[in-house]
Amino acid sequence: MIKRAKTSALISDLAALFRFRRRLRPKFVAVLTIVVCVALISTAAFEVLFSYQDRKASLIRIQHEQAESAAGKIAEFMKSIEDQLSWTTHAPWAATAPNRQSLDLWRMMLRQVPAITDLALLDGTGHEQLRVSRLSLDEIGSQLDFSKDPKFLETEAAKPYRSPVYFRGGSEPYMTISLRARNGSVSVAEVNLKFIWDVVSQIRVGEHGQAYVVDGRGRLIAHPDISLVLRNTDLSDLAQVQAARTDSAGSPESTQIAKDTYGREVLTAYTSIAPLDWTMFVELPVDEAYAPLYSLILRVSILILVGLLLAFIADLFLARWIVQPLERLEKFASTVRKTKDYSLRVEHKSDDEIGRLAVAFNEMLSELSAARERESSEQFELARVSRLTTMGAMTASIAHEINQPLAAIAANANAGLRWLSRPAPDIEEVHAALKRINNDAHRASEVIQSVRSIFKKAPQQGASVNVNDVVLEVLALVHGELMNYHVAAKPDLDQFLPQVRADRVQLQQVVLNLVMNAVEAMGSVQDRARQLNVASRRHEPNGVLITVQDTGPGIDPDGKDRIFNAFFSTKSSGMGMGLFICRSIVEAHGGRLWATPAQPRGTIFHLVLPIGETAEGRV
Amino acid sequence: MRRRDIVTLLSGVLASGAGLAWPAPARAQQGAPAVAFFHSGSAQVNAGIAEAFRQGLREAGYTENKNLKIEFLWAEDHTDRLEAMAAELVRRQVAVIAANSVSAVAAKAATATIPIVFQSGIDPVVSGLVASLGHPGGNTTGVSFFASTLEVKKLELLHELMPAAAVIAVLVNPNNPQEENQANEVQAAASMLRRPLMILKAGSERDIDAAFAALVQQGAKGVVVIGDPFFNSRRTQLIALAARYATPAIYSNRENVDEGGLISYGASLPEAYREVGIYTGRILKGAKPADLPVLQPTKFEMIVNLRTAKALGLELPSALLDRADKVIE
Repeated sequence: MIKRAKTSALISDLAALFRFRRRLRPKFVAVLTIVVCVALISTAAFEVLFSYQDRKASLIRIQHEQAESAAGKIAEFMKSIEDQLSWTTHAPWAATAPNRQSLDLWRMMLRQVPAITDLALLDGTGHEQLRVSRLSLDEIGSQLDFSKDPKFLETEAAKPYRSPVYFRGGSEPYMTISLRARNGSVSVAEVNLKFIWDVVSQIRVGEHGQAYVVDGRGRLIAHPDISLVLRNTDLSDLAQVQAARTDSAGSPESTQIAKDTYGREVLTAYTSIAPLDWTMFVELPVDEAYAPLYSLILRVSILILVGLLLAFIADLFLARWIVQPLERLEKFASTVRKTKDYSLRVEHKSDDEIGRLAVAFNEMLSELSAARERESSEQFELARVSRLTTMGAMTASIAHEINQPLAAIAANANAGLRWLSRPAPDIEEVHAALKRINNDAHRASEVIQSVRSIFKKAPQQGASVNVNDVVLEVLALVHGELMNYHVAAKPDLDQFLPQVRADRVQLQQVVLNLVMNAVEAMGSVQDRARQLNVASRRHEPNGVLITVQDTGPGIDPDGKDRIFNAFFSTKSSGMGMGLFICRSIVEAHGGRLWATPAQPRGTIFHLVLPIGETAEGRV
Repeated sequence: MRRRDIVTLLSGVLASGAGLAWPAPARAQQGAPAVAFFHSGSAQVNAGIAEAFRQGLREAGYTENKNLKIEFLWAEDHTDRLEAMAAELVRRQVAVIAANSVSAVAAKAATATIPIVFQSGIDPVVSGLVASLGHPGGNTTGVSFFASTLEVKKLELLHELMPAAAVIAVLVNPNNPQEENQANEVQAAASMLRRPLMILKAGSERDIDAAFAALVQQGAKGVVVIGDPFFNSRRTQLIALAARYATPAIYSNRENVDEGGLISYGASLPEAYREVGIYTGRILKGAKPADLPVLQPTKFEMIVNLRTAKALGLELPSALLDRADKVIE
C-alpha cells in the first residue's frame, strides 16, 4: 500500500511539473531575451554615453582650434595686404609728386595683391594724387578732395585705418584700408573681401560643416557659399552671433548647439579675428557630429535584433531538445495514468538529461508494474490465509492443540503399562503416569474449552502466570520425548521474575510448541550433543523474556521471517501452523516472538511478554 | 546629456537608419532633367565655353547623358532668331535655361517662370535681367561680366602702346542693347586720356571688313574691340583683319590672343560659364534664382602675344609686360 501511494505521488508530481509546459518556453525566451538585451543595451548605453561625452569634448576642442586657426589665417591675409600697402608709404617717391614711374610701380602692386581692386595716394591735405584700378581708368593728380573722408581723417601715423565692411553694388563685400606715411600722405586700398573665400572654403569642417566670417554688425562677409555673402546676408539674429558679441574672445566653452543660417542644428565654435571686429565661426551639423554615435546605436540595435534572433533560434532548439521531449514525456505519463498500462515504455534516443529522465521513467514503470504484481499476489495470499485460518486453519489448530496432550497421554499410558508389566510393577510410577495422564486430559479439555471460547469470542482468560512454572510444566510434559530423542534439557530460570498476565493454557501451548520444534529440529543431529536450553529473564523495560535454544541445523536467513507464516514448514509432516499460531497468540498478549540463529549452530526463539496491566490482550 | 541632445541623437539614428534602408538609387537617364544651353553664337566657335558649362554642371553633380540632358541652341549670330528660339524653349518646358547676355534677354522676355542662368557681358540690372546684383528677385540670375566698364581699361592699355597723337578706333556692335553706353564710356575715357578716338560700328561680317578698311583709311593706329557676343563669334575674322592691316587690337577674351590677337584684358569667359553650370546645377537641386546673387569676376587677366607684337613691329613697354598675367612668346 505504501509503495502504491509513493508511486502515485510521484506520478502526480511529474504531472504537476509538466503542467507548466505552456510557460516553460516563454520563460526560456524571456530569460534569453532579457539576458541578451540587458547585456547589449547596458554595454551600448555605457559606450554611447562615454563616446558622446568624449566626442563632444573632442569636437568642441577641434572646432575651437579650427576657428582659431582660420581666424589666424584671415588675420594673416589682412595683415599681408597691410604689409604690401605699407611698402607704398616707404617708397622713396612717396615724398615727391607722383609721375609715370610711380604709376607703373603702383600698377605692379595691383598685379601682386589680387584682393586690392583700387589703390590711391592722398597727399597730406587729403587730395588724391594717384589712383590705379582694375576696373576704371588710372589717374595721376586728379586732386579729388578726400580730406573729410574717414579713410583720410581716421588714419593715424602708426595705425592702419580699417573701414567697416561695405557692399559694392549692394553685393560684393569690400573694405578700405589706409596707411599714413611719415610725410603725412595716405595710401588707400579698396580690398575685395571675396578673396577671403579662398581661406574659408579651404577649411574642412567634417562633411557638411563650414567656417564663415561675420563682421561687427553681424553681416556675413565670408562663407563657403559665396552667394550668401553676395546677398549681403545679415546674421545678427543668430544666437551664436549674438553670443559672440558679448563674448568676443570665444572660449572653448563657448561652443554650443545653435541653428545655422540654413536652419540646421549645428555645433558652433567661434573666435574673434584680431585686430578686426570680425568673428570666425566654425560649425558642424549636429547630425554629422554625432553620426558615429548614430551608427553605434544602429550597430547596437542590429546586434540586439541579432541577439533576439539568436534567442529565437535558441528557443527553437530548446523546444526541439527539451520542451518537445518533455511534452512527449508528459503525454506518455498521462497515457499511462489513463490506461493504467504499466507495460508501456517511453521511446528515447538521446543520452542527455532528458534521455536519462526517460530511462528513469521506464525503470520506475518497471518497478511500478512489479510492485503491482507483487501486491496482487500478496493480496491473493492474504485472502487465502484468511479463508484457511478462519476455517481449516482453526480445525488444524484445534487438532494440533489436542494432539499434544493426547500424545502425552499416550506416552504416559505406555509408561504406565511398562511400569505395570515389569516383574515388579512399580505402582508409584504408574500412579505418577496416571496422574500425568489425568493432567493431560484436563489440558486437552482446557484446549477444547479455550477453542470454544475463541469461537464464542469469549473474553481472554487473563490471569497472573509465573512463566517459570509454565516452562517447568512443559519440560515435564515432554520429558518422554526428550528421552526418546536423547536431548539434554537444561532450564536456566530467573527465580525473581514478575508474573505476567496471560492465558496459561495458550502460553503453555506456545512454549510446548517451541520446545517440541526444538526437539524435532535436533532429531537429525548426529555429530554433536542435542542440547535444549530454556531460559527466562527479565526483559527491560517491562517484560519477561523466554528463550528456547537448540543445537539443530538452524534456519536459513531467508526463512527467518517466513517461519512465522501460516503453512510454512521445514518438516515433512508439519502443517506449518505451529509458529503461525504461536505468534498470533503472543501478539494477542501484546508480546513478541522472533527467532535468531544460535552460535555455533542452532536457533534461538525469543518470546517476550509484557508485565502486568500492559499484558491486556487485543483479541 | 540634455534632452534636446537625445532627441537629436534619436532623430539622427532614424535618419541614418532610413538612409541605410533606402540608399538613393542612381537616377536613370529616363526622366533625367533637361536644361537648355541657349547661345547667340555658333557651336564651332564656342566649344570651349560649352565644355566649361558641362564642367560646372559636373561639379554640381550633373553629368550630361547620365543624369542630365543638355539641349544646345545656337542662333549662329542671327540675333533676330533669338525670340522664336526662346519661345520654342518655353514650349518644351526645359528645367533651366542657360544663356549668354542677348539670348538671356530674349529668354527672359519669353518666360517668367523657367529659371534662366545668364552669362552677361552687359549690365544685367540695366538690361532688366535682374532687380539687383545681390537679390536678383525673379527667375533670372547668372554671371555679370562688367564688360562695359572694362572697355575703359582696354582703351587705357592700348593707349599705353600707341604714340601720343595716334588715333584709336573702337569697334562696337550696333545690335548690342548697350552699344551706346559702351561708346559713351570709352569716349569719356579717351577725353581724359586726351586721345583722339574713332568709333566704328559693325553688326555683320561684311561690316567688320568695312570697318577695318575704314579705320586704316582714316589713319587709326589701333583698335579696341568691344566685348560683345557677336565679336566673340567673329574672332578669327577680327584677328585676321588686324594682322592684314597691321593694326594693334585689344580684345576682351584671352582666346583671341591665344589665336594671334595682340592683347586682351578681362575676366575668363570659360570660368564664367563654369559658374553658370554650377548655378544651373544648384537650381536643378531646388535653389531659387531669386535667392542666388549675380556673380562677378574677381580676376582680370592681361594676356599679351609677343609674336604678334613682333609681327606688327611694336615695341612693348617693359612696365606693361611686367604687369601681364601671361606673355605668349
